[in-house]
Amino acid sequence: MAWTAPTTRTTGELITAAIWNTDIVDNLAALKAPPSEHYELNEASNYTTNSASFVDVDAGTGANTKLRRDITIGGSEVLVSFSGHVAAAGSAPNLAYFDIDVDGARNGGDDGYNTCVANGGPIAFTRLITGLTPGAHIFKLQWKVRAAGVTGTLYAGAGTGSYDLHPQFWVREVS
Amino acid sequence: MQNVLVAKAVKEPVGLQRAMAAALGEKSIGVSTGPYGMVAHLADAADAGELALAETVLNGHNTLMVSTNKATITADGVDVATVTCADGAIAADGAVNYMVWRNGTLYAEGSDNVVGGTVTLTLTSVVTGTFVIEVRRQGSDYASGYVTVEAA
Repeated sequence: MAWTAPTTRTTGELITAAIWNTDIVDNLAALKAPPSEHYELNEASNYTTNSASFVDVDAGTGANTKLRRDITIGGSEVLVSFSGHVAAAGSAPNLAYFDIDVDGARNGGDDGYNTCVANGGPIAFTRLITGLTPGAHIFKLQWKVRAAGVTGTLYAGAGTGSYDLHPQFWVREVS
Repeated sequence: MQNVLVAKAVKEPVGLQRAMAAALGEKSIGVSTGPYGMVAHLADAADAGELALAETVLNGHNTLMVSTNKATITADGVDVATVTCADGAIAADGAVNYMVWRNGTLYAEGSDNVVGGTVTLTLTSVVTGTFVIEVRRQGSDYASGYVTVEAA
């Protein structure tokens, strides 16, 4: 159920069932279940990269393919969140960086949102993305490493000893 | 950036990174792997031949059958692991290249003759570590294989 901007009423105006249902019932339903997509990784293999330029963490194609989430919004603001565990091995300083690609453009820019070092650790962020237009939007998790001599690994529930960890990626319209 | 994707399960992604860099030099931006398979990231300047070469490397990665008679050896310089590559792809080759990586660092490299379609290497060590033995075809028909031996 999409959000409909409610009309300001005046004293004496008849609130019909249609008006009530549009302004109250449908909008409450829209607030209860806003456009939202999420994915928890439980994969056959982990993700790796040694690209020093930002690339999609998951190179799969098609709508809502793992770390690509597609939603159609009625407003302009979306929360995007990721949590996972990342290692960055190789020549020091061994760094891995993360960003979100929105409709083909990186949101963070430069070196992205955040980074992890050395043997890594938890990577978790929540970002409010504003200025979107109503309609369909694509959100993709992207990453890179400092240099080609560094290998970033995102553990993806692939059964790795002591690191059988399950990241989550979600997007939700908030306004 | 141009991407070449091959939907095939990946083993030894770091070996694939090395192979791609060796084959394409500065045209290779990197390699990513995951449940989707593997993708080579190439510079915009890479031409059709280089894109095809990247696909050849992806398809040839970890296709040689390499085995060891011991998954673990004692790090005493005496205990020996015998590593064998007996694969139809190298039957007509004169020799193959090999590299030995210890804990991700190059430990030894060289080439060895193919005898009767088989290459046999031996590994001893006086230091502990995880040794990855990589066998790679010489020439343009890239193919590689890997096996891991622990020295404890």
